[in-house]
Parts: sequence; structure tokens; C-alpha cells
Amino acid sequence: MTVAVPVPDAALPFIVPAEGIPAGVDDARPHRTEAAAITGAGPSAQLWISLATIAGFLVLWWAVTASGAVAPLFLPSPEIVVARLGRLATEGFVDGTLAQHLGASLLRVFAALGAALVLGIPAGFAIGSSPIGRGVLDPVIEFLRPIPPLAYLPLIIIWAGIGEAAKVLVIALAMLPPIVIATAAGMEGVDRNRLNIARALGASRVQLFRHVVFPSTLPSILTGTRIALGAGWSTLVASELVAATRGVGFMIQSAANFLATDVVIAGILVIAAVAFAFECGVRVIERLFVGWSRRG
Amino acid sequence: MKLNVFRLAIGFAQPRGGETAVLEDINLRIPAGEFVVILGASGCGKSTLLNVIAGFLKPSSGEVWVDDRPVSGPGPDRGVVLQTDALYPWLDARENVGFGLKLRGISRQERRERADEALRLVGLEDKGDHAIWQLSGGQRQRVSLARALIADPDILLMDEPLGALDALTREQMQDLVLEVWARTGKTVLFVTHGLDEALYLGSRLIVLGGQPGRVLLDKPLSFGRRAVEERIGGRIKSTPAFAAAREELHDLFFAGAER
Ligand SMILES: Nc1ncnc2c1ncn2[C@@H]1O[C@H](COP(=O)(O)OP(=O)(O)O)[C@@H](O)[C@H]1O
Ligand SMILES: [Mg+2]
Repeated sequence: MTVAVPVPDAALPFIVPAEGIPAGVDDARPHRTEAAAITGAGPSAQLWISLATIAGFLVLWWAVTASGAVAPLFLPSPEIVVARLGRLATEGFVDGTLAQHLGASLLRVFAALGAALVLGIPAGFAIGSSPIGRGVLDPVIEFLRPIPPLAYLPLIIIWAGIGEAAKVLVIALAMLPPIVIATAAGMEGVDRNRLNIARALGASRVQLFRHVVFPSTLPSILTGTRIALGAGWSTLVASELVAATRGVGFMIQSAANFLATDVVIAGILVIAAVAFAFECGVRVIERLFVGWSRRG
Repeated sequence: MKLNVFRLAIGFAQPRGGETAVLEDINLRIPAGEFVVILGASGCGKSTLLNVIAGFLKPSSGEVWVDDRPVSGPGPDRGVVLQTDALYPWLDARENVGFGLKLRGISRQERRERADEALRLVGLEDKGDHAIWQLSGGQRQRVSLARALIADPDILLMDEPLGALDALTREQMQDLVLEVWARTGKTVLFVTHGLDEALYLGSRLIVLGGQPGRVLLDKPLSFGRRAVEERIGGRIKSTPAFAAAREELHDLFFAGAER
């Protein structure tokens, strides 16, 4: 299995530090995307363009609703959605405030992430380090990877019931493949010379792993974690389809039953904002712990 | 510490079956304190030989002995410096140098002191806190050299350590390597494909060549030692004796092609 792990790098504008490349770095790689190099748009220009695009969408949304061309049932105006967000936070919807729904969802995603990391990282190392590990685990991961979580959700409900465990399990299963694949790919990429030098300095097998293999693989693991979080959020809503009483996904679906479009849109925005915050969080962790990997 | 290589042969399995012999019947007796330069065209098996002596590769037949023990794997008695620096970018320069001490469980304080000492030896005493990506190619190679030296190996194995450096840095580093050798008295095996570098540094020259590779030439040299003793450094390369030796070596490699 040599599946290239997609790295959605150019996706977010804030990857690039607004202050630019630190001074005194003689061989820092250019951080600009190729497209940016062609158009001559620097990192801060990129950020402004992104902000302007977002503002443009908001204006368009507002204009369409204000003109009365679309009924509020289909698309409520931004003001209505914002007002609804406020009431969701205070009064709540279907038996829970926004914080309670969000808390339930976050708990599921975090529990699933924990499980996926605990199982996925060792599995990835096993695939990357031994033909036996690869032989056993590769088919499992390759089987799991292309199946949409919704397809195995019914099976998991039959096995694990309709409680929290089933929900966490579905999300964890969706998160597992990217973490395993990224870990294995990272391990295969460990520089031979770095390993040999450590062996020449007297490293035992355990020390090789701890002081060379693991740090070398960490950037890859974090990339896998970012991708896994994306998969986790998309699976969350599906997992809350069944027998949930709390959760942002549950809130959105209940709202849809009542045709409360403003709640649906507010819920979507909340999920987007939280997912974005997670993405930022992982990037901060990357910057702190594996900043070296971007410098070459 | 002496290094002995007995009837060494190495072949690599081919993808379609069978084996290509890379080195055949290599015999070396290297007494302690010698600076052995291994010279040969690209692909003649220099790195392979060094990797076997380092213990990274198992030979097809033959043996490598360090003093009275056969080599069965890598060990801290043989320090290694490679062409690509292979430093650990998640550690700063000082921690890279102290890496071998960390593996032995030596305390942070002592590691720091000894790493700083090794950095001083290679002229980087002010760069300990620098990240690896903040160092130039030459500085990185100095860090790799310090990292190999800190474990105090008896034998230093260097595979084209200056190959990736620009000409000026390369000359500087040649002098540094010579100086470290003269000061520490370690046995050095230094792989290169540069004629001048080989003649300048070595106290003994070994030329590899042929298919499979064998020792074509094995003779003593004295330019490096004289350059250190007489404190003339790289200027010895302009002496008539050096030019004559260079010509002779040049003919060994290219005489066939010119006629
Ligand atoms: N791991 C390997 N598998 C197969 N062939 C190899 C391997 N390593 C080196 N060789 C072959 O052995 C020969 C000698 O390689 P090497 O020792 O790296 O040469 P040098 O260092 O003198 O340039 C080359 O022809 C190379 O293709
Ligand atoms: Mg080589």
C-alpha cells in the first residue's frame, strides 16, 4: 500500500505567517504557493483575498434575502440566523442549549479521536515496520477506507446498540484510516542515514524508535490527525441521526423536521467554526512541535 | 586500534535473481592512527566498503576485525560521518552533538558541557543554540563531525563528508579534518573521489577500481602530515612533489583513455 496521503495545504490562508519569513534565515524555503508566485500575491494579499471572498458571500446572502426573491423558509436572512444563534445559546432548541448540544458532539469527536490515535498510531507503525504487520493490517485498512461511515452505521448499531458507544465507534472508524496511513507513510520515509548514524552511536532498537523514528514520523501523524478530524466531523452528523438526544447534528436534523431553516444554518455555521478552530489548533501544535519539518 | 579486513567480498542481489559482485577480495591492514584515504570512481564500491566496516551491511564473505574482535554490527568504537549530514532537525546543534551521550544515559548537564567542548573543537562554539536549518552546509558537516567525535570512537569512518560543499568551504574543512586527526590521533578512513583531496589528507592512499572492485593501489603518503608539522596547510598542494604525485595518480585513472 503506497497511498499518498493528501495534504490540503493551500486550503487555508493562515498557514502563512502574516509577518513573513523570519529574518536571518538564510535557507528558509519560500512559503508561497506556486499560484501566488505567478500572480505576485504575497501571503498577506492571500489573506485579504480570502477575507474579501467571505465578505462577498455574506453580502450576496444578505442581498438575496433582502430583495424578497427567496422565501425565508428556504433561506432566512443573516440577521435572522444571527438572532437565532443568540437564542440557541440562551433558550436552546429541542431540550438543550447550544452549549449542551455542542458539548455532546465534542465529547463524541474527542473520544473517537482518542480511540483512533491510540489504535491507529501503533497500527501505522506496525505496517511501516514489518511485513507481517503490513500483511495483516493493510487489507483491513484498505477495506475500511473507501466505505462511507453511513454504510456501516446500521451494522454497528446492530452490534453495539444505539448508545454512545456506537456513535463514538462510527466516528473512530472514519478517523482510523487517515491516521494509520499517514503514520505508516511517515515511517517509511524515515531517512536511512539518520537511522544508521544513531546505530553507529550505539542506539538500541527501543532508542532508535524513540529518538529517531518517532520524531521523524510526528509531522506525518499530525497531518493524518488533521485529515482524520475532517472525516470525524462529517461522520458526526450521520452518527447523531440515530437515537441521539443531544448533539449539533441531532439539533440540525430536528430543526429540519420542524422546517426551522434558521436553526439548520446556524448549526452548520457552528460546526464549520468549531472544525476551523480544531484545524487552527492542530496547526499551532504543528508549529510548536514539528516546526522544523517546514524548514527542511 | 587496528582495523583488519580479510578477503572481503560483497554482492547485491539483483531484482531478477542472481547477484552482482561489487567488491571482491579486499584485504586491508590498517594500524592505529593512520589516515587512510579511499579513492575511486563513482560506483566502484567505496560507500559499500565503508558501510560494511561500519557494520551497516553484512558482507557476502570475509571478515572485518577491530583489534581482536570481529565486527558484527555498528558500534560506538567506529564513528560515522556521511556526505548528507543526516542531522536530527528536531534537535538544535548542541543536542545533535550530544545525541550519542543521550543514548548512553549521560546527564543533561554533562552532555551540555561535552557537546560545547566538541563544538569548540570544530569551531562552532557560538552555534550551539542554533536550529539545524539555520546552519550552512559547512557548519552542518562540522556538527556531524562533532557528533561523531563526542562518542570518542577509535576509528572515524567518513564517506565523502566534504563532497557536497563549495570549493572554499571544502578547503577549510580539509584543514579542520587534518587538524582533528593530528590532535586526536584517531584512525581515519576517508572516502573521496577528489584526487587533490586524497593526496593532501591521507597518510595512506588506497585506490579502488575494476568490476568487481578491488584494491588497485595501496601506498603511503606524507603531504598531510607535513602540512600539519610545517604549518603550511593547503599551500603544500603547490609544491613540485605534490604536482608530481598528482600527475602519477591522474595517469593511473586516465592514461588508458588518452591513448
Ligand atoms: N543496496 C544496494 N542494492 C543493490 N546495489 C547496490 C546497493 N548499494 C550499492 N549498490 C551498487 O553497488 C555499486 C557500488 O556502490 P557504492 O558503494 O555506493 O559506490 P561509490 O560509493 O563508490 O560511489 C554500485 O554499482 C551500486 O549500484
Ligand atoms: Mg558513495
